[in-house]
Parts: sequence; C-alpha cells; structure tokens
Amino acid sequence: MSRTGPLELLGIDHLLTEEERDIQATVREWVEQRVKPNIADWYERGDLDLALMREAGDLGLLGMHLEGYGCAGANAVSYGLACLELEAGDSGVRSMVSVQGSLAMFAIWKFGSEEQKTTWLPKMAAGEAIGCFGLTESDFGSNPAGMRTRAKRDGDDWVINGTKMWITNGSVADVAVVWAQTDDGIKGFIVPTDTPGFSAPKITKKLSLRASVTSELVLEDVHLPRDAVLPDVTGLRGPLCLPERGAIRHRLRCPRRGARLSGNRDRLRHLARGVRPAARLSAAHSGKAGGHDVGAAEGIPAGAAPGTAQR
Amino acid sequence: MIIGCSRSRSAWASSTTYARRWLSPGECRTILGANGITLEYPVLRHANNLESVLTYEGTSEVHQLVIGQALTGENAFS
Repeated sequence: MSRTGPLELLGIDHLLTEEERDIQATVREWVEQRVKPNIADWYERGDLDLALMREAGDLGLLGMHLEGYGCAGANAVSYGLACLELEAGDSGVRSMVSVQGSLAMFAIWKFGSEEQKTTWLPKMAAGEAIGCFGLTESDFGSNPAGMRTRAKRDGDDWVINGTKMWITNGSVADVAVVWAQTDDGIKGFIVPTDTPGFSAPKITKKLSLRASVTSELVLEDVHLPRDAVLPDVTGLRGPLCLPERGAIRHRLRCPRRGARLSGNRDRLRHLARGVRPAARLSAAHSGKAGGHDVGAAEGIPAGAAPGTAQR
Repeated sequence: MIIGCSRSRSAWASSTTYARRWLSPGECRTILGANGITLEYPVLRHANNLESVLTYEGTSEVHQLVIGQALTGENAFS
C-alpha cells in the first residue's frame, strides 16, 4: 500500500528508489535555500545570479544524465525529478540547467569527437564553462529545417553566417553549439563565443522567463577550424531528438549504495564525483533505470492525469 | 524517432497548459487578494513563465499535429 503525500503532484513517489528520492530532496533543499529567497529580485531585475551555475555543477546537476567526462551518470528519472524541483523554484533556473546539460552538453557528448568531449564536457559539468544551443531562428522556430544560417567550406575550415533567436544562456555562454546548413545537410558546430564575428545580444523586455538569460546569436563571417564540426551527425535528427533518447538509456550507478552518508547533499555530490570511475569502467547499458522500467515510472497514473488540455 | 521525442514533450506541454489555467487569473491568484499580483508570491511568476511553453520547443499547434500523426498515421502538417 502506498500513500500519496500532499505535495505529490503526480502520485508516483512510491515508484522511486531511495537514490531518486534523495536526489529530489537535495535539489529541493538547494532551491529552498538559493532560489526561493532571491527569485523575486532576479525576476524583477530580469536576470539571475550566474554563481548558480557553479553551484549546480558542484551538486552534479549539469549533464547529470550523462556518463563520463565529469558527469554524474544518473538515470532519466533522477534527472526528471531534479528538473521538477528546479522548475518548482523557477522555470528560468531549470532552463539554465537543462539547456546546459540536455542541449549543449548532450550534443557534444553524443555527436562530438573525443577531443571535443575532453575539451568541453568536464568544464561544463563543473559549471566553469557555460554552453548554449543555437537551433531556432526568428522565422524558423517550429520548422528548423528552413534555417538560413549557413556554414561554407573555406579550404579545410568553415565560415558561418546567420542569426539564431531565443537562445537561452546565449549572452553568458563560453561555447555555443550552432546548427547550420551545409552542402551536405544540417551540421552542428562548436563555436567558442570569443571567436571573432560572434556576438550574443540579450533579449530584453520579456514578460516570461525573466530570471533567465535569453539571447540572439549573431554570426558574421565566423571562421572555424575543420575540427569545430560535430563529426557524428548530419540532419535534424541531431538537434531535435537528442535529449530524451540519450537520457533513457543510462541508469544510475552509485558505487556505494547503502553507504552511510552525512546528508542528502553529500549523497548527490558523492554521486557526481564518486561515480565517475565506476561509470568509465562500466560499459554495459540497460533499458532499465534504477531497477524499474523507465516507461512505467514516467507514466502518469490514470487517476492523476489532467485530461485532455484544450484551448 | 523524432515523433517519439516530440510526443513526450507534447504531454509535458499539455500538463503545463492545465497548470496555467489554474494559476492565472483563477483561484490561486485571487485567493491571495491583491498580494497575488506581487512577486512576494510565486503565482503570477509561474503563470507568466508557463506562457512560454505555448511556443518554446515547437508551438503547441505543431505538437498537436505531431500527436495526431502518431495516433492516426495521418500527416496533417500541410
């Protein structure tokens, strides 16, 4: 028998493992301490404290569902719970974390070369480097296939021209993953934001997601070396489908499950740091997450489903 | 593959639409009286944030077409 707690939105807590609950509690506590007391100010200012990125990295939240390269290697359910708690604080804070982990880091992790991964992922997992993801353009939001940004060959190198719009973290990013048309189809490029010709003006006067940096990316004759391209993907399959597919394949690996830890926060830090060697050693992937089926855990119980939303 | 991904996002968008309806300008806001319009309370902040969901990661209408295609096999995009 399971009892549904008063704060359970979906009534799924009884399906969660101890680690998953611990991770959720840790993130909730961090949100209570760091986000809720400050969010009114950040929202009014139209900004947020960038120190949050380092702290999120410290907690293991950045690229939390990825393995290796300093990432925590948590399962999809844990990552979902962490994002749920961040979102309960503010969408902007959740956006900061999920754009870093699910979009920028995941693209590099999934489609990047070994050198690209070792260059960027550890710094991004720690929150020392901020990433953004340039896919949408002002006239191509839901239809990115029509994008006008174009990368042309210049000998072995590349030259990119175009603008991207509504890019979270853009103005504060150290690296942008930019998607562009090429003669061989759409490809992804890793663009350090200090590359000449790159600029990222901040979008102001927003009435939504105010505690989030949203930007335009402008690329004017941005010259990139040959190895700036993500080698393992061509076409929209890359930018459109990467986050969920990757996340679900990875299961939580905590090397010392059941070990006495001094608190929830320590446990997540332990997950972030201690799991790395284990993750590197373990090559086996499984469709199960944390001992139970991901699909079942993500399914909304019939009684709790909100019904068909109509507008 | 793409359809599978978008479908899960669509379910998420639908539930947030439902949450928006609760938050603004309905009970959650008015139960706080005039305080409900300030940032001292999270209600309108969340409601405003959820407004973005109608268009980010694809508009709700495109998500609806994706769901339709997944359920019926019919492509109604154009």
